[in-house]
Amino acid sequence: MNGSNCESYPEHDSEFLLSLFRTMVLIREFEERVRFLFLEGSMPGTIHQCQGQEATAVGTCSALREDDWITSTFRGHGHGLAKGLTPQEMMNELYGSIDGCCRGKGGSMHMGNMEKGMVPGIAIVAGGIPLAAGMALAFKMKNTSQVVVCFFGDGGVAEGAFHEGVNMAAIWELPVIYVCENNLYGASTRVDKVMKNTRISDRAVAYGIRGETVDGNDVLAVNEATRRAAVECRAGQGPVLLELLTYRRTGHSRRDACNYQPEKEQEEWYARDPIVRFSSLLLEQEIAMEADLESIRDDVQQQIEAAVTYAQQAPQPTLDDLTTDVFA
Amino acid sequence: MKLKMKMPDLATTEGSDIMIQQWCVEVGNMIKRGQPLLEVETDKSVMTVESIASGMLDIAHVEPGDAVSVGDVIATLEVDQAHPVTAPLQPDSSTPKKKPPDQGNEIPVVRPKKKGSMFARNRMGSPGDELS
Repeated sequence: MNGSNCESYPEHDSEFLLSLFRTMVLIREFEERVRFLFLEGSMPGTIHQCQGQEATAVGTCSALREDDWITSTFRGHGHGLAKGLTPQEMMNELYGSIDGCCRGKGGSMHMGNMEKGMVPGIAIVAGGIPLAAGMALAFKMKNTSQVVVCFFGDGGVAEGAFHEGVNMAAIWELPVIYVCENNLYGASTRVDKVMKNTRISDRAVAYGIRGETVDGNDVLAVNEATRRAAVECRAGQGPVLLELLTYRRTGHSRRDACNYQPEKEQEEWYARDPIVRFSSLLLEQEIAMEADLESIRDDVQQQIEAAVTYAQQAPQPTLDDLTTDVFA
Repeated sequence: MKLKMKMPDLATTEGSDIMIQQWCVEVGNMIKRGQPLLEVETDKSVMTVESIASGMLDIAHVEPGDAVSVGDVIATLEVDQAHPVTAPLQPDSSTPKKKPPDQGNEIPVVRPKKKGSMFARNRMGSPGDELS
């Protein structure tokens, strides 16, 4: 199959483009603020952050309908903000408050909100892949025309769940967009040490579905690819495997020194930073002036500061909450 | 104002000591928020501890070779902002002050010619381009 089934793309007004910029900045600033809260000792536990990968979450989610769904991973802060979760409900969740999006029982690795189309993050590598097939089966049986985007990393591809889930979605032609955020490292292991063919989208051929590799640091390219995939899925031609090439500007987790990323590789990828690139585009195309972008940045920072201030004194669960929302 | 910085929770095994390796800044010198303050060895690897605020390193409370627990005070910083910890981040990599350097033709920057055709085509090269 090829990607010839394109819809005609609506012209993007500046409002839409600036909203992409704002959400990417929101994710970056949220993650940076959380990084310092961790360093200050104010936030317990470890965290898996996504600085540098903002365009994959924003490009994908901005191409979805509000009633579409996503499944996420342990690195889910960006996915949540891009799907419309507020920094406040997420910061509350990080502080274990009952005002958090999972009432404080999810934490960093299970970020989500079922009312906003995001299943709480699944921290088991590739765990979301069969789950997304099940969700897509439900959409198909109910004839709802919804799609589900399933995020996973390059490390997830080697899991048995990848084969089982993608194969099942393929034979039943389910409306699921499998989005592999290939950031080149599964924890500390580089992809070329664990796979001979590092072009992950090639694997689609084995399942008889369409695969595509996209510049995952280009928010518009990601948006376009996701729109195309969503059209196919809604037309009963799914699933689709999208491989988004990206890079994380941080360790696998906060306790990872990230010494395995070679300096030269880091420099090359930092030069492709998705926010810097999109800023340059907005300025070049005269969609915005530098002052406009600064103003968005300031606004986002204030929003996050307010979220931190509230979250640090937000109500914590009581003993009675111990037995609510749990099965056992 | 003086700000005490504690050892962040960098150890993989809870409760294990963190060994101080070396200071990256000398007492009396200035440091920016996010810059390396000292190097430590955890139960798993050597890591950099980044400063939580911009200011001057006033007191180094630990020395190379010391075993430190998470939460121990490691440094006193002299900072002049009223709220150093919650001050907005210094714009860094994500500030669009200048164009990113030319990236060759592996993953080109999107540069549409005119408004209304903002979408980039997928311009990835052949397999292995990215990872060779």
